[in-house]
Formats: sequence, C-alpha cells, structure tokens
Amino acid sequence: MTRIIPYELIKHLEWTPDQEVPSQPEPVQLKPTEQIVFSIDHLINNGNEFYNTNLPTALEEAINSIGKNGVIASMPYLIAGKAQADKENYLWKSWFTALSEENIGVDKEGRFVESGKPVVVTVHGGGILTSDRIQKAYDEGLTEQRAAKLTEDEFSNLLNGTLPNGENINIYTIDDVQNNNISHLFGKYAVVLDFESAKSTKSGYHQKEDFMKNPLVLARVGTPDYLEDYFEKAKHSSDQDVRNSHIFEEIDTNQQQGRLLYLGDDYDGLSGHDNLDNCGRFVGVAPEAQDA
Amino acid sequence: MANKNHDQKELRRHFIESLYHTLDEVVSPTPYLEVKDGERVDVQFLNGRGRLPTQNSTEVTVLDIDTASLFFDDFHVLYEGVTGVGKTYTSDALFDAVFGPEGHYTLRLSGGVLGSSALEPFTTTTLENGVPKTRIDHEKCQKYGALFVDEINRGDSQEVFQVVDGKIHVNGDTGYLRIPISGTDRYKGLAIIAAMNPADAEHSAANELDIAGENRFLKFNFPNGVSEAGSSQLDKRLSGDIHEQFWKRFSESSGLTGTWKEIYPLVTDPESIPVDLDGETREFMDVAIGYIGYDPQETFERNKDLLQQCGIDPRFSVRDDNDYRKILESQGKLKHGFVRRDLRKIRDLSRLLGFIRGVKDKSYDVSATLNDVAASMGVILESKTITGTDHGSLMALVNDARKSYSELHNSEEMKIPENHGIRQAIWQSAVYAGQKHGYDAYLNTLKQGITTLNTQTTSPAEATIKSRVLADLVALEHFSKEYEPDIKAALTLKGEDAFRAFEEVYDTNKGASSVYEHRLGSIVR
Repeated sequence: MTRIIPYELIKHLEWTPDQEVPSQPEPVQLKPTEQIVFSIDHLINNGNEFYNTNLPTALEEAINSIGKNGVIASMPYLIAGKAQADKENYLWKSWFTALSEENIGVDKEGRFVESGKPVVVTVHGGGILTSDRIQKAYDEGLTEQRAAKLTEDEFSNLLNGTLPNGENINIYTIDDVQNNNISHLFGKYAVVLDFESAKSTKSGYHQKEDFMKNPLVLARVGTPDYLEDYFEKAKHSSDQDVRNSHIFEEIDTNQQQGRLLYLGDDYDGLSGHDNLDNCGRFVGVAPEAQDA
Repeated sequence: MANKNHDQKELRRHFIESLYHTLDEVVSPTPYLEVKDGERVDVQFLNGRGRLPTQNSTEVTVLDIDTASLFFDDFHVLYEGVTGVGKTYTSDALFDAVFGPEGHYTLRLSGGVLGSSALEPFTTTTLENGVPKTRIDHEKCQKYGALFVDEINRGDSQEVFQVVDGKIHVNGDTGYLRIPISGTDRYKGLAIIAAMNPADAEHSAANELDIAGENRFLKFNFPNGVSEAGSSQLDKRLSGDIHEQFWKRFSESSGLTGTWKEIYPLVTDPESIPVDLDGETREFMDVAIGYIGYDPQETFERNKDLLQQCGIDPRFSVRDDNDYRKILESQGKLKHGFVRRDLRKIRDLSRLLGFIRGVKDKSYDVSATLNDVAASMGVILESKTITGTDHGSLMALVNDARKSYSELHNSEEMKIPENHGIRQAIWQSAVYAGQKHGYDAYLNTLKQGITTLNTQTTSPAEATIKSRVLADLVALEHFSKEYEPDIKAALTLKGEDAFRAFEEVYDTNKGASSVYEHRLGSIVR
C-alpha cells in the first residue's frame, strides 16, 4: 500500500473546477542548426560587401542577396579569410560588421558559472540579433552604451542553446576553442565566457603573445588557428600591436544585452564597443560561389 | 525479561554502544569507505587507510558493516579478499560477542566429491540398517544466531542458497533457520556473513559466484588494513568471555535481562527496519539511472517517444553539445551499465549506509536518505569502472542527477513534501481532487502536473530526469483513461479506500502493458 500524503501538504497541486482546464502549450519546434559550409577561398574570392548607413538594412540586404543557401561572414570566417588573403584583397581594404554578436547577462541557473554571475555569450553565424530584432531594439530604446536590450527569455534560452527561431546551437567553452573542438568553425554556434574574465582583459592594443592567448579574442574568433597569420598581417607597422576592444567596465550586467562585433581593416582589430545603431558592412557569400 | 513496549531506537542504541565498547579491545577498525555528505555526496574507498575526519564525513569500517548487517534479514554481506587480510576475524569477534561460542557456526566449504556440505550444521547423520541417513535436526536449526560461511564459492551452490535463504530441504523434510522473536509470532533469520577468495589464478579452487549468489549478497572487496593498523593490531585479541561482557554491558545500560536468544531477536527485529525506500528515494533511483548509467540522449528519446504517443511534445531536449559529450566520456569508464540486480544492490546498500549513518551520528535512525542512495550509486558505479580509472567524474554525474532531482522536487511550483516522490504527489493530489470533484478533476490535476513540469531545462541531467517523470505521468494518464469506469468507481470511495481501490485497479490491469508495470508501480505502491 502506498504511503498516503496528507492532503494539506499537496493541495497546491490539485486542480479545482474554478481553474481553466490545463492544456499543453504549443510546442516550440526545436530544430538543429543547418550548417552551410563554404571554404576560406570562397570568402576571399567570391565575397560581396553589403554596406548601409542603417545596420539592419545592411544586414537585410545581405540576406536578400545571398538567399537561404548563402552565408554572411562571422568573425571567425572573416579572421580566417584575412589570415589567408593577401593585403591587396578586399578583406584588407575596409572595416566589416561580423555576423557575430556579443550577448551579456546573468547565468541565473548557474549553467556555466556560479548561479547569479554574469557571462558573455558570443554567438557566431547569426543569433538573436536579426535585422527585425535590431529594428525592434531601436524602437524600444537601446541601452546607455547603445546595445540591444534583450528579454530574460531570450537570454536564458540562449544559455540553453535555443535561439528565438527555435534553432538549437552548440555552446562551447574557451577550452573548446583552444582545443579546436568546434565542429563547424564558420557556422552557427556560441562560445561562453565568464564575464569577469572577459572584463579583466585589456580593452586596447595588444602585442602578439597577449593577443594570442586573450580569452575574449579566442571567444570572438573561435579558434587559435588563424590568429597568428591574421596578427602578423594586421599589426601596426611600428608598434607591432593589434587592438581588441570592449566596454565591459561600463555596462550593467543585470540588463541582458547584445551587440554585433566589428572587424577593423588592419591593426584596429576586433571591436566590441561599436554602437548597434551604427552603419553596417557585412560580407555575404552566395551559393554560386561553391560552383565558381 | 521485560519485553513490552520497547523503544526500538533505544534498544538499538544500547545494543550497538555496548557491542562497540566490548569489541574495542578486540577488533582494530578496518576502514572501508568514506562518505562525504552535504550539498554534494562523495564516496571514497579507503582500502584500510582511514582519513582524518572532517565535517559531514562518515567513515564506514568493516565492523560497522558487519554490525549493521545483523539488522537486515533480506540480504547478507559477502567479503571478497585474499587470504590473511582478516576477513574472518572481525566477524568471529562480533559473533562471539553477540551469540557466544556455541551460538554461531563457521562453515568452511571445500570443493570436490568429499567436500563439506553447507547443510552440515543443521543435520544429523545416523546409521539406519547400516546405511548412513541424513536428516534435518530441527533443534539445530534454531540453535545458531549466526553463520560465517568461508570460501562460499567452493561449495555446492544449491545447498549454500538454501542456507542463505533460511529454509533447507533434506529427504522431504523442511527446516527453518530462524529464532522466534519473543512476544510475537515472528522470527529472526540467521545472520550470515560470507567470505571468498577472488576467483583468480592464485586461488584455483575458487569459482566466480553466479548471478543467483550475487543477488543474495551485498558484496564488498575486503580492505587490507595491515599496513595502516601496524603493531596496534597485535594488542587486539579475543580474550576473556566477550559474550558475557557484552550482554552484561547491555543489561546494565538498557535494564533488560535475558539470554541472547531472548534479547537479540527483539533488538534486531526486522519489522523495526523499513524494507523499502521511501517515495522520494525510489523515484530518484528511477529517474537518475537513465542519466548516470545510460546515454542520456537515448533515455530522453525513449521518454519522448512515450510522451508523443499521448500527443505531448517535450519543451526541452538533451542536445548533442559539449556537456553531453562529457557525460558520454565519463560513462566510457564503465565496463558495463546498470543491470537489473544493481537496483536491489543500490537499495540494500542505501539501507545499510543509512543505518550506519544513524549509528555514527548517534541518532540511530535507520531510514535511507537521498544522499545514501546517491552514495550507494557511487559505490556500485565504482565496482563497474575499468580498473585503474578514476571514478570522480561518474560521481559527478550522480551529483548532477541528485541536484537536478532535488531542484525539481523542491521547486516553487512543485513543493513536494519530503520523503515523497513528485509523481506520487501529483497522482495523490489527483485522487484527492477526484474524490471531491469527480473524474474530470482527477484527470485535470494530472494534466496540470504535466503542463507545469513541461518547461525548458538547463542541463542534460534536468532534461533526462524531467523526461522520465513526465513520461511516467503520461503513462498514468493513459492508464486512467483506459480504465476510466474502474477509476471513477475508486474515486467515489472515501479517504484511503480510494487509494486502495486504485491500487487494486492497477494490480488487476498492469499486465496489459509492460509500460504500466515499469512506470506506474513505484507511483501507486
């Protein structure tokens, strides 16, 4: 015979006729991310720039142009491209907006850090900040540091690997990046980093050794593999350094927020401080590139 | 002898304190295991080497295991270890103290045609018409309180199992190896501790104990404490009449007098020790094993399949990510996953550890907690790891499961009372609702529970555990619809009768699907 639990202890679980009949909510259709594979050569030889003074417009134009089977270059893809391209290539002639976003918020469940502590989640290849979502962020008002205000759900789902469109992405750690554990380097995934570690990195110019082992740089580029070649080509001719910037000192982590990363044309390097209501210049690679 | 209205907990306290006091000069403690309790649980095999005590740590010695085993009639302890490490000594000393030299028997089995019989202590052989005839000696069947079976893997296993099961058959006669519990119509079973050498090249006559044997015992690898105990061991010896010393101490402390045959069964009455784990710990076993011992993604998919059969899509998943791969990496250290008999072992070991913890913290409580079950899972997992691998990451899996289960159990929405399972609480609240408002209220309460639980998860452990809880509740909902008229009838009954009637509906119909038996048994019983 089962042990009977006194009614008083479980009456909160009981349905009563004055309540609505419980029904299952519409399921979120979780779907695995479709990873579209292009080579570094495709980017170098067949990439197209999409510039607009309005960031979401630039992004939308890029998406419309490349179609559903093309890709917009993320920071890891751009870095690999610049590492291999010669300095005459278009990749070295201008700054770009990467399809890589840096989202910050509190890990309430302690999924990656002690619960209640903030984390930086860098999503490559497209995450929360679609053109519509950026436009919505403008309408709702950006943070003081000009980032999109994310909802609690958006950020907590992201920590669970779920994007607003139901896509499931892999979340990697810096160890994974260092050990090259990322299966689709130029595809869609996230890298999580303890906010305090990210904040403690210098925002500014770095000599090669510091740059190569900087955890925030690694989160932004997804692999150490192309970093040295990139650095050698990008570095300041006399100071021998490349910039990696952030504004973590300034932001309130209790407001979950996100912004896109930018890549400078040479030694001004990886930028995490640009306003979300900035101009945009994306690089798109259309599917035809694969046949070229 | 005064034997009315004894406080069992007090009796246990007097018995164990007197016993440990008496054996202090006789037995050197051989540390076996350390369990660290708290937010996380950890188990560490000590192999005879004790550690300095810390807060929340419990050191379990061989004497603790032997002593606790006296209180459990439904399983026995088996030690495996090489010759000379002292497998016999501690048990001998314990049995001498409690039962006296005449009250226990050491049976050393040997193989071959002329090998000794496990039935020998309970039979008499006489010559009848010149032919030796062996018969059960019913007086001998109630003569001993304990039996030490040495080299158990060398005898006739069928005879050994009869003894271990407490019921022997010889020439059409049956003998029961037990002692009456005075003042009751119940009996105390024969305490059995067995030992064996490992079945390896050095012990060529030893065989592996078969599954039937393993199922009857809780097997421990006997630690070798000689290097640790060193010369202190030399001061320990069986001297004087420790049987008399022990019972004199017990009598002085408890005020009870009588022979061991009168008092021992009363103190160790199996009715005073819960046989089953409570709903919370049973549920934890149910839900955790699919995460710890199996591929969590497969477990999730299995449960998802059941959910989808009833039109419910889980709002969470076990993703193929880094966390998942780390789990599989840890599980790679296992020679093989959990098997059916491990469940029994986890249960029995949890009860044993719960008992020992009660002795160590002087509460003399005997119930097994969630941490006892988690520690037992760790011990069982350790026995399954490939030799030479560290089991720390497997213990981390146990802790992940325990944390996720506790969070679900204690969440603001659930607030499940202690010692009861989540599924049990939702089902019982549904029965209460059905008694008051009818069958629809019963079903809606189940549905409400399912909806409340079907939310996003934050870890593979939570997703795996939640999928099992949900799938079981969905199976219960399905069962309730299949047998709607019977359930409706049960819900018309008052008080506990409704629960009993539901259990009857379940017992009558569980054979319709193995899913009912596997998924609902631990909810409605």
